[in-house]
Amino acid sequence: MLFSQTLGLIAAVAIILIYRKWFESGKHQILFILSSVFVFFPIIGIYAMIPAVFIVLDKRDKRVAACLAAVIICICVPLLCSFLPDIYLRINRKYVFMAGLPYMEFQDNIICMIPLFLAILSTLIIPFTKKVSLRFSVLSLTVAVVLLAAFTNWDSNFKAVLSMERAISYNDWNAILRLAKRHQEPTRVQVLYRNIALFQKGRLTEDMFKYPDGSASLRTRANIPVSYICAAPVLYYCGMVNSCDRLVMETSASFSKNIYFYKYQARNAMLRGEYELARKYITIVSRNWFQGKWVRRHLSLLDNPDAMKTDCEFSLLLALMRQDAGEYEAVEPLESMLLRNFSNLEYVNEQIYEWQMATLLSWKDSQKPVFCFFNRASLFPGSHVTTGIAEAIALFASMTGDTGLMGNLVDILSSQKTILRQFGNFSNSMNMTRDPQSEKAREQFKKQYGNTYWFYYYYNDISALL
Amino acid sequence: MKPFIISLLVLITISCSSPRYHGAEKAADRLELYPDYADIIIPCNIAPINFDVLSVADRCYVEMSGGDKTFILRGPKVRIPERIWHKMLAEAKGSRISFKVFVKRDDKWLQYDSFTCTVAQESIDSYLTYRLIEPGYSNYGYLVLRQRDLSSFKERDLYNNALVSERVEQQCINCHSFRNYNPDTFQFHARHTDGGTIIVTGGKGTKIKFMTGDMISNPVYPSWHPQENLIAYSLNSTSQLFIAKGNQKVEVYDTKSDLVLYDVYTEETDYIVRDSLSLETFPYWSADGKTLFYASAYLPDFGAGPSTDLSMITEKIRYNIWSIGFNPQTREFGTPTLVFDAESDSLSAVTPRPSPDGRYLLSGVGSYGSFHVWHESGDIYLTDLETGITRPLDEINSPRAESFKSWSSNSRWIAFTSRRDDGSYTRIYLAYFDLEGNAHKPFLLPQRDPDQNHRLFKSYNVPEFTTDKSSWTPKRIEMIIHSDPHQATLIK
Repeated sequence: MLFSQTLGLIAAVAIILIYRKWFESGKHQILFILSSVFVFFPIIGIYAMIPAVFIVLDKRDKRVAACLAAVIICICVPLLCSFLPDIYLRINRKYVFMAGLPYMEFQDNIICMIPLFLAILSTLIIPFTKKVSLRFSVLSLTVAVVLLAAFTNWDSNFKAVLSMERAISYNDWNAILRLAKRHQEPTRVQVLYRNIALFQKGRLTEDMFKYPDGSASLRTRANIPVSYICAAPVLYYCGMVNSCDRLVMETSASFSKNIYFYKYQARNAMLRGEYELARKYITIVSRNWFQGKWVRRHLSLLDNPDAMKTDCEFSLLLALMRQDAGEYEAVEPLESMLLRNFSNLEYVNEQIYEWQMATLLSWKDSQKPVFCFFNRASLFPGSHVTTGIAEAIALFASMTGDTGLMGNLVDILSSQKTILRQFGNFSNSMNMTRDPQSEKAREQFKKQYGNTYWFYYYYNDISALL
Repeated sequence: MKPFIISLLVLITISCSSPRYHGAEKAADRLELYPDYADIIIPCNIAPINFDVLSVADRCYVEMSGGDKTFILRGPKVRIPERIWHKMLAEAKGSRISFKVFVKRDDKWLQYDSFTCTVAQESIDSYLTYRLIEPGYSNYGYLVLRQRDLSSFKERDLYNNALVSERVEQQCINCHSFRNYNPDTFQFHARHTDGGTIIVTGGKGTKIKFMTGDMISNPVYPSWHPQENLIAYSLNSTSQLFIAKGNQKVEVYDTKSDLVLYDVYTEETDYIVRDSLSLETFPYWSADGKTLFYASAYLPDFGAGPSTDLSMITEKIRYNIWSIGFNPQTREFGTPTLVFDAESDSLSAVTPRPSPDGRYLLSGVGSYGSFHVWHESGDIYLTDLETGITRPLDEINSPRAESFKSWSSNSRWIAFTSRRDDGSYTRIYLAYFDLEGNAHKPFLLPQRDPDQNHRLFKSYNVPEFTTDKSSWTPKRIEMIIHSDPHQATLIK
């Protein structure tokens, strides 16, 4: 999107330079405006009108006739273009004055049209100002800066999401975790990216409840869903390559194809063994000057697909792809898709177990994790139990009131007795608190148990997951 | 000035001299070409078959010979000038054009075994219309119905949805169909924004709204009657299942389907087949207009009924090809006859396409279901309508999905779509079909730059031949789309 806006502006500046070089001294400004809008409007859309405004502003004798002509040309030419058969084949009349702008974001946001209205107004006012005074210039600049500031999204979570996405592209998982620690009220996007990073570091269920959790608003104007923003990396790093491919294909077909999507499509194809398709996507990525390292790495894997089994990124994903997932019906909320994908309770491998437990615990399911936990414990006696899982199972086992179950748990966690002791203290504190749901109690528990699953279970709102 | 002219003349002389590859040694490796145009049969009016020599070379030349003419082309990107190519086709009609490939490698000239293309006496219809679409599932962006001049590389939009659809208010366009290869009598569906079925007959276009009464859906798969202004449609209630694991990403299936006949003049719709125990779909008229072929799956055959949740048994649903007689005068249909019993071979046959000479029938066959573009098992089968024998058309099938197909008006050429290149993006292949009922090696639709196939992230679908270019433009069609729709009347 930014790219097309930049190209539009570059083209507009180029037209102005052409005007300056060859047409400024002549008496054909109106003709130039007319022809430049006519020729360039189908190519660069609304940006073709910038030179018209500039030429009118630039004229020393700002005649009413010239300004009116520019306004009329800018209104009539696009309309005329949209009616001409054969030449302008792809101009939608309904959005003719927004061609080239990111007008999807303008939908129902009339406020975004203010700069356009100001441009038209300025063009009409210019003839009546004999010369542009310093005061007028300063005032214009101030208004522009205020408008820019007023309509800029200063959301720190949004900034963090962008930084996390950059870190994901470099597989810099530590950077994501640093960012996750810094923001106390994250959006679901940040939480999901954090979980990906923890999984890649092998500490998902060990540490996921030690980081701030939340469901802060995305603050997007067009009410964009979480899945639109982060489905590609989340589904990909959870090994759900078919779902990732579907969402990437749908999004890129609806909005725009770009390198970000091609890279996921290439890797999905590699993981599915569709090497010709992967090569097709990598070839298109290779045409970008800044993707050399990525392209070399993936082409070398493509030349030797067996190497994927030992590659740190692909080996994890290949392990996750062993999950026996079924069929999905429609596009669902992203975290519901994760839940469904990991709802098969059979033990397959440690990687799937990690995501299975992380997902079930996030959704506060109090029964399935107990089954999965004891199933794994029976298959691999003495295997390590992560802190998050130990805390959750202690809580769920106590909720059942089954002393036998609790006894088994004590045996399994014989080397992690501190957790059971802490849970005892937590339970006592809970029982002794008169109103555990009060804000005061929440703050108190946060200080003592904010890093535990117990706090997440009792105080975290999961309605945003639905 | 004089030295400059002399230098220029020297330069021109050097550049015009024939390459010094004579006496080249025989190459030990196998020649690699993209697309593979070796040993194919081509129409006598096809566009230049530009290709890339993929075999490693420092320099490359190709000698193209046909009749008594030889041209030297520079490689490895072999681009044949259109004028020279058409002269060559005219010279070699009924005989062969041979290509000798020479490469310079390690300061040594090598020659590969030459390959040939046979130029058929029979021409191919001048235009092919197809839709370009991402191989997506439910969303879409820019869609276009495009007409390609098969004798050159010229393409033009017949209609594109950018005129109406814009991101948030999208419009899908699908199922274009021409009456008897006539470019100015056609129909297609527009869905969602300004939706309706666009029916164009000669100079007049109309937008039709069909949905009325208890129809299960709007019309979907069309077939124009070759002589009458009638269109047979299937009504399909279609669903999708997204598959989380494996190389098949989606399963598309019908939960209900019927056949209807629409009269373009009276704007009346009537049922042809309506049976709650069967799924009837993909109607197609024979060239004489006296038979309608279609695919049908009988639900009780796989233990299902009208209320069964078919999503649970998609892999059991199998279709057979049926035909039903039609009297164009009385407009009465006869009794259905089984043409291809695919189910008995544990196969599912859909999309029947009878040849214009009336002798053969092509069907899309897969191991189950009806939407074989998503099935790797998707192949094309041929039924000899005289003998009733059906066989897989192995001459043109590949291990990947073959799907849409159509016959040229002289029954000698087949255009079909295939995912053989990369498994995801369908491309159009053409194949010669001889009088003995054999298809020959298929070849990729020629492009000015064959690398276009690698750069284009869209699928070609529903290739339909027409004998000429349509006189309709996108803007004219847009006017119909914006017009008030006519409501079709349902008779029964």
